[in-house]
Amino acid sequence: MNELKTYFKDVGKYPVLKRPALMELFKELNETDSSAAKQRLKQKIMLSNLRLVVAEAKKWKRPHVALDDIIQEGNIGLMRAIEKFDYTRGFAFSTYARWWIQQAMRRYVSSTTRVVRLPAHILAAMSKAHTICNNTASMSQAGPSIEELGEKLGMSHNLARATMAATKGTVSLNSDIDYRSEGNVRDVLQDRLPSSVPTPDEFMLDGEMREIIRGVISKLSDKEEKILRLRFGITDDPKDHTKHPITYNELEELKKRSEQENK
Amino acid sequence: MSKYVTIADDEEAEGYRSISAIMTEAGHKMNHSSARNYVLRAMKKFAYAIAKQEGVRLSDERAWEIAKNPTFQKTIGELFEQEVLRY
Repeated sequence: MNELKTYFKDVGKYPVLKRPALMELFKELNETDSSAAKQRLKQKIMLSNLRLVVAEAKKWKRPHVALDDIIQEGNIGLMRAIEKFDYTRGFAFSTYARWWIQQAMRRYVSSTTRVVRLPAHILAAMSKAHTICNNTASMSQAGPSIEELGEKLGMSHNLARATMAATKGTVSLNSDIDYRSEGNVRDVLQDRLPSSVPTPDEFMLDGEMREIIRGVISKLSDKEEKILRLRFGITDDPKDHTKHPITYNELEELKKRSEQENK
Repeated sequence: MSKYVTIADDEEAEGYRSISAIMTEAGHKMNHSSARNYVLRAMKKFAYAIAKQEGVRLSDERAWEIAKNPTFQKTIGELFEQEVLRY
């Protein structure tokens, strides 16, 4: 908190430039070719608008999001606004920059307050869907169907369904199922999952190992492979090697032969 | 350390003497120690490949040690069987 106070104090030291002075800086920024001069001008504009970021950040304060992080994101938005601002259009810089600052903060807050991060366009769609649902509910008893929602949001029915599912939030595996009974969500899921289902780690390891084994087998000679088959008992009749399944190399030869025949 | 390694509990698996007899009959003349060497050399190749994947450089001595390990052989045998029988 002390660091934040120090930051506010520091930000207060930089003067807020009036519109004509700011426009002069942008004009200079547009005309200069020197990268050092550009850097210096951008810094000057940046410092004079840091208070705007702090003012916006206070509106985006949330219980689980640190204010200094929101300010930091807002500063990134401000930098983007400086890069993109076109002074010839005649609008005030603060009007333009506020939009970029808010967008940066909104994205940050949305991505940190959810356990599972959602893409920005889905968050925007969720917000629109929420408004549509509220408006429809006020007009009739039933909410809009997925098809209606999809049409209004301009997205496919499947995406609209997924967007609505994402609004439901997450449930902790440790949360109780019911206040009347013992046990949590994890217990139920464990009961329902077959024990033979591999974990993602096991699945990856298994896949990698198979790749290695496959690579080595493909480099073994026919003789080596036949000996290994005998050693590991991979045959219908271990006494008759001619009945063994064909080797990789034999398979490749067969493939080549059939390709040649087809030509 | 023993030169001979037996794959435990596998009734289908052949001993080195029977492997050499079958291979000789099929036209690849060899004795039991050659059969063993073929198996161990193949095991060594698997050991090197796995170590490489894990970013470990094996010394020749260590690779032989792993190749002779019955547990390693059994595991490779199972994976080998699954891969070979896919075709």
